[in-house]
Amino acid sequence: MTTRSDDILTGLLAECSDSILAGATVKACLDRHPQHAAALEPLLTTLVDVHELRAVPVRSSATAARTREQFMAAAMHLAEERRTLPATWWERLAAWWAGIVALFVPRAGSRTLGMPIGLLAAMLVVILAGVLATGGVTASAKSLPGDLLYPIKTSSERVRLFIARDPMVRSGLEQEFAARRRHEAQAVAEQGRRIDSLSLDGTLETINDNHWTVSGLDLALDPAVQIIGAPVVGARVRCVLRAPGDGSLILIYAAVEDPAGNGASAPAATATSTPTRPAATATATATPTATVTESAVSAAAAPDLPAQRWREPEGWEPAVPTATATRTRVPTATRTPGPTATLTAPPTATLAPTRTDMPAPRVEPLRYRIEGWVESIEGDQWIINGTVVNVNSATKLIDDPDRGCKVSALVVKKTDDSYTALQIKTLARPEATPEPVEFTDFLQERGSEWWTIGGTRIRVSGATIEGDPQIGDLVSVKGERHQSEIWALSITAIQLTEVQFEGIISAVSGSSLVVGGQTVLIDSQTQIIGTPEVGRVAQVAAFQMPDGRLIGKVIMVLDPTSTPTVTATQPPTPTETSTLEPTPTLTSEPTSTPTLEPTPTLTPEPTSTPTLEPTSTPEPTSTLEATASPSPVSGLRCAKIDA
Amino acid sequence: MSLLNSLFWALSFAPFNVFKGGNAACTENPDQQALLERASRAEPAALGEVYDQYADRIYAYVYRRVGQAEVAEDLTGQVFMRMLEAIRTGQGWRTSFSGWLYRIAHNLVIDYYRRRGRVTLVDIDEAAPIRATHGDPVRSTESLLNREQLRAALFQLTEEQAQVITLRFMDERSIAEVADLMDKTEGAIKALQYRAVLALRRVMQS
Repeated sequence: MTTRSDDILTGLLAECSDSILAGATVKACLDRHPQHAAALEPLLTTLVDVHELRAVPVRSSATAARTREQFMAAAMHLAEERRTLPATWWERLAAWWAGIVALFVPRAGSRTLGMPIGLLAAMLVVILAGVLATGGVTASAKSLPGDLLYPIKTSSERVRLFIARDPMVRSGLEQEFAARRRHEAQAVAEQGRRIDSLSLDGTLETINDNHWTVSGLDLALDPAVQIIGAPVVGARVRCVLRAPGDGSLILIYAAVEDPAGNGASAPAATATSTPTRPAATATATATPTATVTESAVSAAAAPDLPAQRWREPEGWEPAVPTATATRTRVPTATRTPGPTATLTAPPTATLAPTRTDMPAPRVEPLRYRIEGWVESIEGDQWIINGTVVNVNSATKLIDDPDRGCKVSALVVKKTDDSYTALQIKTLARPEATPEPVEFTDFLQERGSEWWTIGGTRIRVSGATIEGDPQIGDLVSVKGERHQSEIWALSITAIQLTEVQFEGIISAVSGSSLVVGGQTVLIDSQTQIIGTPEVGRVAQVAAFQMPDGRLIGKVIMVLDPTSTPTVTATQPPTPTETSTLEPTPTLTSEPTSTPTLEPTPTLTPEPTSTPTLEPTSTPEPTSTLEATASPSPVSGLRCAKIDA
Repeated sequence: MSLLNSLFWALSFAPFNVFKGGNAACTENPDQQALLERASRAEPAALGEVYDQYADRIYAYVYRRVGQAEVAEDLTGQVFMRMLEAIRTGQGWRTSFSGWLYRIAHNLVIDYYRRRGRVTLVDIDEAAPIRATHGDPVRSTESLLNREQLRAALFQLTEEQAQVITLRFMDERSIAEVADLMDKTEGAIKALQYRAVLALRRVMQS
């Protein structure tokens, strides 16, 4: 509520601020209003302090030019999209509509409609129908996975990430886009869409037997869900989901970051034990699957072990009292009844360390699953994927597991860190040496049992996964061909160095570009913004393979008008491009406005905005010329950044 | 009839996100309107012209809030990328373009500060020249610290208060211009300015 005094000071501050901004002093203002000087003085001092902040250092012309070039490249890309995407149909409808409107709606100054009311009413009905029909158009702006326009949405996000240099800005964008993914997942579920792979990053809020809540989304756990790391409430978790189309979201993969924020806690067992599979070839290293605990385990309870969800094996009958007799950790009160309750029935006096600052995670007996090949059997000691497992009379052997078999072993860890098998079940018999398969390509899709890598479906059950590869990551696959299927033994995410550089395109082919003398390979994951042509400048973000090859991540072809001097300053590349020298093509054109060429696409639009046509004619703008000032783009500027 | 007429206009513009909103005043002059219309149709030349008109101003606006050249450059790029994104999705400006653009900048700055969580002082080498200290290094440093505190204090104001202070006293815009940018009356801006300065004073004292 304002008082009379406030009203007066509001007016005086407005007046005085005007004069101070015009160069007057605070004192002069106070002298003009002595009766309000006491109240005004602190306000004006504050104002002056803020005014001091206005100094802006001279903007680096090179940086500013670069920002502009990036903007123009993105603008050209947008114009190109407009030409090629089905979004244009509604624009045409819009133009048609506007034409209709122009026919019936009076111009400014006219007071009457030049149309009988009946006809107008009919037109309104038509227009109303149009409004309803094009409702879907605005919806396309919020495209979801599975939509035709969805890739455009994600590509624009990649561009924004591409241009963000400051780590804080970048991480902010990543958070913003992660939030979008959450909304999309929710919308996909609500709309009953069927999508095989959705990504989701969020906070693990609740853990129940078959459900998690991640950032407000209820996720049902797939029976074969892969969980990397120890899930605790409050942890950050990166998920891959599946939407079956019934309104639910199924979690098929989750990588839980450790509480210290060190990324997904890699399964120690997987990372360290890579025994060679008997009878396998040299390249085919059979590796154990991640050891799997029966359920969520608190990080404090087993920091050195992966805690993955235990999938109850068929025929499992838990009845090994020795296992619990040695346990030092017992279920807390939050333990939800499960099929293994009998195992944990006799609690000891030792209590599990529980967290007090968050809802207690489920703490359960530590049982693990070791899945892999039986490498040796010596007495009661079996070596399964490099892990020594003790077998006793209580161990249940299912389907005659033996040396060379692939087995799934349910084990308990004793206080001396040895493992005792509760059950060992044969998964596969030894077979003839399969053909080894080894390749490197991008991960395109990941399910619980099958992944698609470089267009090939790979069975991953039982494979060692290293480095927590995500969709789009480059992975190295070692595996075996089993008839028509490829079974992975190990999949390793390749950590690539990302390099960024800028240069002139000297050669263009379907699978590569030569930019600044460096060959950049193009694959399906490479995002190209703008049209790569010989002679144009491109900014490249590329992955550098271990062998030095560059695989393009984002290639932004800059607007030629932004850097018209490039062709003059850039010496011809002394390689195969002598005949492709860029200069002739660019200099043969009017130097001012080659960017205006795309605008003819606007002309098909009918009567809507006739003013557009004349304005689309090439006209040199002073601003373009200004930014065309000597660009330091002479050859290659290469900066290596952290991957 | 006038009702029908209004309905007719409302319906005809509703789905197209035309920047001339129903009853909102379109503040740009006709040439500028034509330019913005071309820009809204993703015409590269028009987009470039719009960029050139606003880039330095947006940069200055952002710099004055964050005080770091690199961050300001980054955020400026993001502002214009968002502009393209908005054009792409048909969710662009409806009333004042410049006000809309400044709002984007403002929101990005706010996001940036929220993420940063705490105030980190800017590197002295990177700071803008300091006025009125006449070469006294101690005073210069003090002044720099004060400026950073003041910048941080701005983030404790409401969004509108911070915006009016920035536009008015850092960008040196007139009350009429600020009213235009913020889509408010001049009287409202005067009142807002008074409350903003008062609030800033309190934050600085606390």
